[in-house]
Amino acid sequence: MQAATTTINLRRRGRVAAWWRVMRQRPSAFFGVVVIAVFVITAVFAPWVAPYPPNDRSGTPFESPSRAHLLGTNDIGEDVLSDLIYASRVSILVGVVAAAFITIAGLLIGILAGYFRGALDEVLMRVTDVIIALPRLPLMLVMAAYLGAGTGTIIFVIAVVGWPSLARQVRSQVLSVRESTFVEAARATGAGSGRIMVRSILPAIAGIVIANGVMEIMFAILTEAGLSFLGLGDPTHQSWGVMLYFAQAQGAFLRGAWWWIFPPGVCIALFCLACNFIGTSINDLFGLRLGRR
Amino acid sequence: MNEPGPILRVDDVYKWFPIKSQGFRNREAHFVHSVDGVSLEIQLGETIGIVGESGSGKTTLARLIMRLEDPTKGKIFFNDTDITKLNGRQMKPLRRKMQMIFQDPYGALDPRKTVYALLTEPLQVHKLLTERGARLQRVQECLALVELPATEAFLNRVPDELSGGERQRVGIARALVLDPELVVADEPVSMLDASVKAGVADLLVSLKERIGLTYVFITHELALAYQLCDRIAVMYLGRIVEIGSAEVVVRSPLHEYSRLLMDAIPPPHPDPEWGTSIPERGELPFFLEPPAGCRFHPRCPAAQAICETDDPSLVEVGDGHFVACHFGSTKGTQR
Amino acid sequence: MTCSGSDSGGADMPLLVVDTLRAYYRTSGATVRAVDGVTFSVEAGQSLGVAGESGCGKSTLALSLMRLLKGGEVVAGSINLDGLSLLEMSAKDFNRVRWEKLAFVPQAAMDGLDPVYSIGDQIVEAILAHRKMSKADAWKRAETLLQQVDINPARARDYPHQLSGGMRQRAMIAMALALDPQMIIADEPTTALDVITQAQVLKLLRRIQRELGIAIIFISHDLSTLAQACDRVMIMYAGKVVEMADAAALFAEPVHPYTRALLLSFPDIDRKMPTRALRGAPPDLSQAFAGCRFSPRCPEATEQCLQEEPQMMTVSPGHEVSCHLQRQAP
Repeated sequence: MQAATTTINLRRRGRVAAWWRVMRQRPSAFFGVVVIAVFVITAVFAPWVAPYPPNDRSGTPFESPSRAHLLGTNDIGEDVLSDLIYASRVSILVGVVAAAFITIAGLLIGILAGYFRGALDEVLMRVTDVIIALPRLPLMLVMAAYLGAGTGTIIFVIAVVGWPSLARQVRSQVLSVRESTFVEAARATGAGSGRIMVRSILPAIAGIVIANGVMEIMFAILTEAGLSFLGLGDPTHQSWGVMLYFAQAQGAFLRGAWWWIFPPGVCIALFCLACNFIGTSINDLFGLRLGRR
Repeated sequence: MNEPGPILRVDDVYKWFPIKSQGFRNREAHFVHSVDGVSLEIQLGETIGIVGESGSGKTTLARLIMRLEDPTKGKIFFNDTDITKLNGRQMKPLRRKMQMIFQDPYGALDPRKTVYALLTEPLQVHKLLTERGARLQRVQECLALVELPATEAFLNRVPDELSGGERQRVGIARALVLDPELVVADEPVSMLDASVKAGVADLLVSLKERIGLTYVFITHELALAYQLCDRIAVMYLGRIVEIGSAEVVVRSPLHEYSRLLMDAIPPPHPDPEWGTSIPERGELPFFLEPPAGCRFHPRCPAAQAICETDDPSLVEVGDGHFVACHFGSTKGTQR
Repeated sequence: MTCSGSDSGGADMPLLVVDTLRAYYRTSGATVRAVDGVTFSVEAGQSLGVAGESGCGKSTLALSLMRLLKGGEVVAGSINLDGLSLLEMSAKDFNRVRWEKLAFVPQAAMDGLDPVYSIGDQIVEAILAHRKMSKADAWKRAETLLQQVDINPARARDYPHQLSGGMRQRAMIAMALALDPQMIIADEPTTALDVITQAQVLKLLRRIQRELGIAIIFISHDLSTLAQACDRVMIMYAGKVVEMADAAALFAEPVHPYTRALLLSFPDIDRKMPTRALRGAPPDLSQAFAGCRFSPRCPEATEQCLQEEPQMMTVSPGHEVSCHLQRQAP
């Protein structure tokens, strides 16, 4: 047989094109991407975007919005807008890191339990069941109280409470995929467990995991906001939740200082909404590829 | 003068699947006797057909041969090596030599892999042909063997973009990539459309002649087995009830079940005689444990007293022709 | 004993007349002409086999007759059952036709049984949906029906999973018989069954036709089964009828090149000749094509075939073909 003709391009075109098509069909996804992009860019370039450096008492306390302070000032005269921008860094960081932990832990445990079954599955699932059975908020509060307030604690606590649900979902997907004929075909060829898990099963569940990962970011940010509002956040590195904590603690609600209360809340809501839209569109994207014909 | 032994030897193999007992009352374990004492020898280069209906155990037998299941009892020898005693790592080099073609063209291919990825996977698993371009060349050779184009466009397609016949051909190509000695084909055409079926069946015939493979061909279609195979074994409820050359089993079947199978095949033209010997009721029963005596006797038109108590074993009645029936040698009607 | 088309004397008009039926699936961008001008008729008590590859439109035809088409619609043509125009009646009126005059056994019917109800209950449900009678009477009727399809009536209380595939299929046929229909449409009733079970179901359908006088439209891609179970056979390709004749005539002297090729692609146990596969693939039904739809694959195609669509013509009594290469009988 002759050797291959010139160059055969074996890369499969169309992944980016597929994404673009989804974007156009679902304006919500597009909206989501834009919003996230804006937030992330602002967070990264905070020092250049924020009008005032952090912790700079540039104004009088509880000033309502003006040209100098677009979102007014807080109880000690710091610019709310600048605070907001710097706080986005913390919130987004917590969200992404916690979601990453959840995804990795959930994925690992779910695949191992689902693929190997038997004793390993039993043990892992019992641990999972226990954590799921415990009420989330009290569990998080107790752990945080024990570990002490702070950003690291919050990330840890969110991760511990979040992975079991993903592990369960991953496991059930793995259970069904491993019965597929093509997985058996791989075994018949001589592929070992590791190879099958990585090359055959992982791609099959990737869509769910990624979509879930995006939703976990949303879950993490909301939880972080809640925990911080309850006072478990780090006062020196304010997140949106901590801002709300201070707003409440320092009487913004009583004073009607809406410029301090709404912005953090709106940011949280917007970011989470964007995550939600993107997550749903990812689900569709993967569903799209598998469901053709 | 040392004749090479059979490439595959199945030695009194049993596979029983446990049924979960219902609740606390039924403590006894029940089993489905999927394969219930099968012995078989396959010579290098021959094509043997295993024919039976659903529930006969033929697919389980195929999976046992491929070591996708472990037998409950019995041994299987591949080239004189007892594969039932090997662990995963020891099995791996042997798996290069025996490959399988699956029944379902829609499920047998990973929907996320391109044709190229699907065909190179076996090579990757066994770390073969690592020189530049060698894998691509092998893939192209195999695609040519199954009469598919080896163009860039085709290599980049995913299973979704292939027709049923094309998918099955890719499945066949994948089985050939490692240049195996034995190919087990589990109902390779039963899920294909009528006219596509013929094309793929023809392909299997021509491959057999061109490459000289040893085939185990599992099917419920006797006509197809007749076309493709040198020898045919008829299975019923986990046992081989008749085995012999294709010509003999089809033209002068001796076991009543084989005859029933033959009679049931509708010919491709109206035949007023067809179907007269098929009983209205009676079908493969849901037995947990097989009945006493001959397992076919409840449905057998020629059953006698002895059939209810004694289980007949395979007995040679002609040249290489074996039947498991008390009256096997006394019948002999030609078709 | 072969039954020819119209040996049932008295019927002046055929029971079912389908005239130039067109059913299309319209999606954004493309229109798939799944059934594209199909004309045929079925006499009372006669069985008609509809054969063709997947995608030829036979299932769409069945769904159109039952007005069960989803995602597509009938755009032209007429369907007349016993004088009633099926397409023109209201949905409410058609509900009375459906199951009482015209029953349906869909594809993979045996998987369509509800797993949480016994088969007896499901048959009773079908009966009570159309007739007023006491549950006890309906149950008795269900038992009678099961007996008619060779299922032990004592098994009426069994659940679908307790029955084998063949028995479930027969239970579905019993359900179709529940209201004494004039015609049953069976879509691939034996496809997933083992050969012996298939033979039993084929014999059952034949018996139902002969003993109860019910007309049957039998859809299958397996010509051999149609050969045994049908009086007349109709071959479809790409949404059109290419040949239609009495079973004996069609199999003895197939005229259309597609029919001939299709017959050759079936393994015949009586000849060890290798089968000859059809080359090429069925056409894309969303693309319009001026000529004969089979011409791109036809070994005998002429220029005319590629450009002009052939009309149905009678080549001998009861035998119609749609092909330029044939001569119309005088």
